[in-house]
Amino acid sequence: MSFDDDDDLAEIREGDLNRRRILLGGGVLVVAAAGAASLWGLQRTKAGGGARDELVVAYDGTSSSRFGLDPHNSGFAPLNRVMRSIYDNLTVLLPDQSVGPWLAESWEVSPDRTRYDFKLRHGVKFHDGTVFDAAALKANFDRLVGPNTVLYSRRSLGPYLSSEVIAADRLRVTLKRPFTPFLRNLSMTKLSIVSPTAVKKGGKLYAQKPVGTGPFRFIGVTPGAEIRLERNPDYRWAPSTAAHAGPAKLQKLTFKNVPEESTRVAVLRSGQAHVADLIPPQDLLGLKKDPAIRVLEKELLNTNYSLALNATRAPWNDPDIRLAVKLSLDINTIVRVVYLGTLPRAWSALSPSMFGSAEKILTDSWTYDLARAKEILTQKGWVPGPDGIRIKDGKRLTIDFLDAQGNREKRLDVVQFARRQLAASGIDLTVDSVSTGIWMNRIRSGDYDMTGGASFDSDPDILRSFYSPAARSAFASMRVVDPQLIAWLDAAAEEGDEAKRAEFYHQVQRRIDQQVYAIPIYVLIYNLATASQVKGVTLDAHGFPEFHGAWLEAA
Amino acid sequence: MAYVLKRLAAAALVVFGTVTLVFLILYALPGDPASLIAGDDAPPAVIARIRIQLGADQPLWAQYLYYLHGLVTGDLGRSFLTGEPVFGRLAAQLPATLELTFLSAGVAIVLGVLLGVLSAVHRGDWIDNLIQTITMTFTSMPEFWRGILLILIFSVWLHWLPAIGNGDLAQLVLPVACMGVGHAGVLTRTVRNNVLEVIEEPFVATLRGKGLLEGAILYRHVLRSALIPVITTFGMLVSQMLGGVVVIETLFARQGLGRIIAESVGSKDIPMIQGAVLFAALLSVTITVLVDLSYRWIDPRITL
Repeated sequence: MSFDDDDDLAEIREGDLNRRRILLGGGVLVVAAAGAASLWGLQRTKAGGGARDELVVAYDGTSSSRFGLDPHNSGFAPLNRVMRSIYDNLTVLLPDQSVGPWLAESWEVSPDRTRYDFKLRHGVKFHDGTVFDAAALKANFDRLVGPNTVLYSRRSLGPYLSSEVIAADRLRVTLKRPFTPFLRNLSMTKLSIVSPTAVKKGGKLYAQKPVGTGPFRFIGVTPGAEIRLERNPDYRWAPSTAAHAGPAKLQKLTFKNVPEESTRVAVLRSGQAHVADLIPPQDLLGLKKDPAIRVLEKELLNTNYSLALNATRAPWNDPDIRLAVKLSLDINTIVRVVYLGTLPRAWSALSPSMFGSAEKILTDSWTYDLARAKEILTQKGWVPGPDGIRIKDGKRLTIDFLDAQGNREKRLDVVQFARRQLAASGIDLTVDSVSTGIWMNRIRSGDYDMTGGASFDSDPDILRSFYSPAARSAFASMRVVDPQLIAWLDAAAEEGDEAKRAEFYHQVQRRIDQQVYAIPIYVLIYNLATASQVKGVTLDAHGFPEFHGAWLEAA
Repeated sequence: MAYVLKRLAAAALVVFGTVTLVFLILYALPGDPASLIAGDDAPPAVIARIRIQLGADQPLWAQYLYYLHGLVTGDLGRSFLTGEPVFGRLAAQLPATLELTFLSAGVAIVLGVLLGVLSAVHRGDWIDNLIQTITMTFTSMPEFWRGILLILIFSVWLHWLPAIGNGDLAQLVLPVACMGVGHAGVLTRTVRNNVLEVIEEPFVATLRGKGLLEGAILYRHVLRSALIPVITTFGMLVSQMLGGVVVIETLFARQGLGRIIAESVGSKDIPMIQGAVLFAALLSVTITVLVDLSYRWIDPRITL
């Protein structure tokens, strides 16, 4: 007995060396931790390390680390906001929705409105030294319509046919037929001017090495985390809307991707960023009252976020059933509760400030009417089943809501709210969250009941990308083919008279509302909160942030 | 030596299996990468051309062989989305994830062992209760919420530490604390139980009988036996943390593997997902092998 125990002890003593190894290892760990801790110490990190000439912007780039600053191939609003500082455009959108000159000094339009002669500004250079001239501009158009790739922005050029260099500073663009949105579209970041030299050199990787003519040039990126820009000292071609004509006042401009909204507010409040965008409603109310913070807000020109039923699939192909869904929704309450009064409720397909919006016409054009909704459903043969959900021919009345964006702008909160309201009418909505790839596949094959979306643009012609099969995007959640709607949209794209054109779009939006192709929910007011020492940040007519005129005041 | 070789062969098999499984799963999933790359209005001809460029028109076995060939020659392909070489992109992201997970695991181990032993030694009294309550609170708090709380206290109120980004050590403190503290809670309870178990063993009674001081028994004998599982836990912790890193990386706006995987899955960027999974599998397997081998080094009684 005792021998056995002694053996154990002997073994343990033998192991002492190894125990020392453990202790040694542990010791090293502790020393390392202590060393690290002393380095961390009381280090206080402020935005830009306290440098007064660097502005740090915490933006909502969503949690994806997708990165690409090719203006011709991105419909992703957060990246387009960054690109606004790197690139310029041929035209600039003025506050009254008309266009003014920018890199194009002036233009002449032929009487049949199919030919545009652009006279280009002199002395404009890209960040890589390439001269901006008619050949460079032609290269941009050629790239967009090139046969081998289909770039996202191709649609914005409409019936573009060709262009021809007339002189170093003159380009003639020919269209197949009149296209009224043309000049306005040229003011969007989607049609910003890129350096043809950089495109040729970068090839497929161009989006990782963007080169424009804008007030800031790209210097580097930490994928997923930040995009670093610096001042373009040669910049002298700001548009008439700009705060000043010369180069930017800031030396550096850094965009940090902070997808989590509460973190974005935290870094602004703690001084790690000077600017934070897309502040959530619950914080926006507090920040507006805070004297140390300034809040800038502007409606983003876009199609209002809308819920869209798949009108090509039963039972949603019946306009009465779609109407019953619409009448079941108390949108005033949804918007008030989810956005706490920071965003207005939307009534029309186009956001209120966009040319041709029918917001005023459609406001209060219908009211939430649960009784009526139930009545319609019962008339159509959908009767409440044992669990309250309606049944017809053994089939339950269910809505499969297809989602790929998560709770961006609290959109899923909206849908959850709608789910509860629809349940009161006996409709069962379930949210099906999938990846973008699957979302696109299922939208294309029509395998969904409802989805939601919004799309930024400067011209109401964007509606064709939803409703016209010829111009429809793969992201278009409306699969319906309505010849009347298409005829109006096509006519409006060619119509030269502003008043007549607006009338077409009013008709279009009224029909979308009456046929319940889409149910508008909220108007997105883009917001930007800045520390009070930040001056001169502006929002352009599209609702995109501009940092060209920004500077930091001494604290 | 034979054991080491056997272990490495098994590890290689695991990595190979993972890679194959992921390959098959990705191709079984719906969603056509070619039409995603082509973009919105792409005519079928363009989509078909891109499919040929990607090699997606080939039969599955051919794509698989091509992929394996690439792996062997160290070519992980290029991202479908951005055209960047996958290896470079992942290699750039890896250090950020590694420092986050290893430091967090370190913090978890140091805190866990310290609190666990303290708790076991003082079992039943107020110190034990306090430690148990605190660790219970930390572990039952969702990681996400714990992070927001840390940011609020140390970044917004006290202005001590930055909340976002990666680069310097200060930026690591909050995310590491957030991850480390949570796992430390679990570990504390493991260590406490281990120590209590070992204390009950007969050899401890013998040591006591021989008149050794309680302190000496605890630190020279009990702790050593109780700590061996901690090494195993370290390996498991790092693997677990690799899985949960996407939440932390999003909350603290850091770059890293988690963010890449989340993004690539969303856009069906197959080469990127495959590369990221390969990296994670290699990392996980390497740690497991190292942990296995370290047993022998630490405790010669364990024969391999």
